[in-house]
Amino acid sequence: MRSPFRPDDLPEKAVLDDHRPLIRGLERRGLFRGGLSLGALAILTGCDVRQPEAVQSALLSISRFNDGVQAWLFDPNKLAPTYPASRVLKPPKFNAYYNINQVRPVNGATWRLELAGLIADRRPWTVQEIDALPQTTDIIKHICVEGWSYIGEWSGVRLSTFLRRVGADTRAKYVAFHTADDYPSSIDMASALHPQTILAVRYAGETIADPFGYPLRLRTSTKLGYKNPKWITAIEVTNTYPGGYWESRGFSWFGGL
Amino acid sequence: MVMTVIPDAGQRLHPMPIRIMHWINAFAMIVMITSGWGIYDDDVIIRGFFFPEWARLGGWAAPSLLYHFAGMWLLAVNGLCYLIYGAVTGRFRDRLLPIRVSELVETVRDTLHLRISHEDLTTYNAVQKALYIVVIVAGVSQVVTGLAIWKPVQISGLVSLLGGFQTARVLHFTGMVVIVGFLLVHVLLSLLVPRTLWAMLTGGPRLDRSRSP
Repeated sequence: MRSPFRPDDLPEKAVLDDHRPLIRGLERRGLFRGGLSLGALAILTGCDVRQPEAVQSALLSISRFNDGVQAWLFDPNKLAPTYPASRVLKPPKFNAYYNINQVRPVNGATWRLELAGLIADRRPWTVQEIDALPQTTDIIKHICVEGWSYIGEWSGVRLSTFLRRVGADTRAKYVAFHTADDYPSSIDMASALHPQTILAVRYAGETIADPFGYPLRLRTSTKLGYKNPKWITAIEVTNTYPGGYWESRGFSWFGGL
Repeated sequence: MVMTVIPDAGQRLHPMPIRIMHWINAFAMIVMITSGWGIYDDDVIIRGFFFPEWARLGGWAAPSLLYHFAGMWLLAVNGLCYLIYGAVTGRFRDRLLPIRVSELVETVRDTLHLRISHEDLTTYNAVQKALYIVVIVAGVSQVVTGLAIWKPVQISGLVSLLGGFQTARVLHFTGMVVIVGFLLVHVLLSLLVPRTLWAMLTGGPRLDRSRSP
C-alpha cells in the first residue's frame, strides 16, 4: 500500500546521483562513530554498558580488596620456576593493545631513560650507560591474563639494583613506568625489588627487537604479561597510586602470579 | 497438662543450613561458570570453540574476570562451610555412603530402561550418591586448580604437581565441564520430580531421629 504521506510529485531520482557518494559517506561515518563511542564506553570503564553502576562499583571494590590479598600472598623471596635455554621461544610472542605492524620503533641513539619522583639522582640514562650495569638473565614463563604462556630468556639489570643505584626511596609504595607507546604501568615496591624483576635489554642473548620493547622493557616473573611495559621512557617512584592502561579498563592492578 | 516437645519430630531431609548453602552455591556456581566462559573466550583451549556472548557474564575479559574473582569468595567460603557441616553432622556419611558397585550397575540399568523410582526422597540411590560425590570432588578440584592458575608463582609446587600451568588450566576447564554436565542432569531430574525441588526450598519430609540431617 502506498503511504498517505508520500507526496504525489516525487523529485527526479537523478538529482541525488551527484551527491550519492557524500550521502553514503555520511551514513558510514555516523555508523562508525556510533560503534566507536559504544566500544570506547565499554573499554574505558572496563565495564559492560548493560550492567548497573552499583554492581560495577561493588566489583571494583572487591578487585581492590583482592589486590590487598594478592600483596599479602606475595612472598618477596619466592622465585618463579626457571627453565633450560632449549625451551625458549624465538622470537617471543608479541602482545599489545594494537597490532605488531603498528609498532613505532624507538631510536636508541636519541632515547633517554628519564627518572622522576622519589629518586635522589634523576640524571637521564643512555642505552650505553644501562648496558654497563651488572647484567642478570632469567629464563621464565610469561603468563598472559588471557591464558596463554611461553618461556622467554630475558637479560638486563635487576630493577632493585637500578633503583638502589639511583638512590630511589625503596620504602615508597609504587614504581611507575611511562612508555613510548602511551602505555602507563605501575607495580608495587615489593615486586619491583624481587630478584626476578629486571629492566630487560636482551632476549635470548640478542638486543631486544623493536616489537618487543627496544631499547628497554620491564620483565618480571611475578606478574601477568600486561604488567610488563615495553619501550620504557621514564621511571617514577611515588606514593601516589599511578594506575595503568589496562588497570583503568578493569584489569586487576596487582596482577600478581 | 504440660506441653512437651514431640519426641519423634526428627530433622528435616534438608535442614535450613543445607538449603541456604545449596542456593548460595547455585548462585555462585552460575556466576563462576558464566564469567569463566567470558575469560575462556579471550584465549580458547579448544580451537574454534567459543561460548556465545549471551551466555557469558561480562562483555569482555575484564568484567568477566571481575565477576570471577568476586564470585570465588562466595563459592569458596560457602563451599568450605558446606564441607565442614557435612562432615561434622554426619550428613555425608549418612547420605553418600556406602556405594556398592552392584547397586550402581543395577540403578544404571534401571535408569536406561526408564525405570526411575523416586518414591523415597530421603534415600539416594547409588547413581545419585556417585554423582553427588563426583560433583563435590569437582567443586573442590576447581578451587585447587583455580588457585594454581591464579598464583602459579606463589604456589609453584602445586602447579608442577598438576603438570604445569597449561595443564592446570585445562584441568580447570575440565572441572567446569564436569560441573555443567552434573548441573544439566541435576536440574532436569529435579524438574521431572518437582517434589525434590520443593524439598530443597521448604526442607522436605522429616527424618526419623536415628538419622543425621
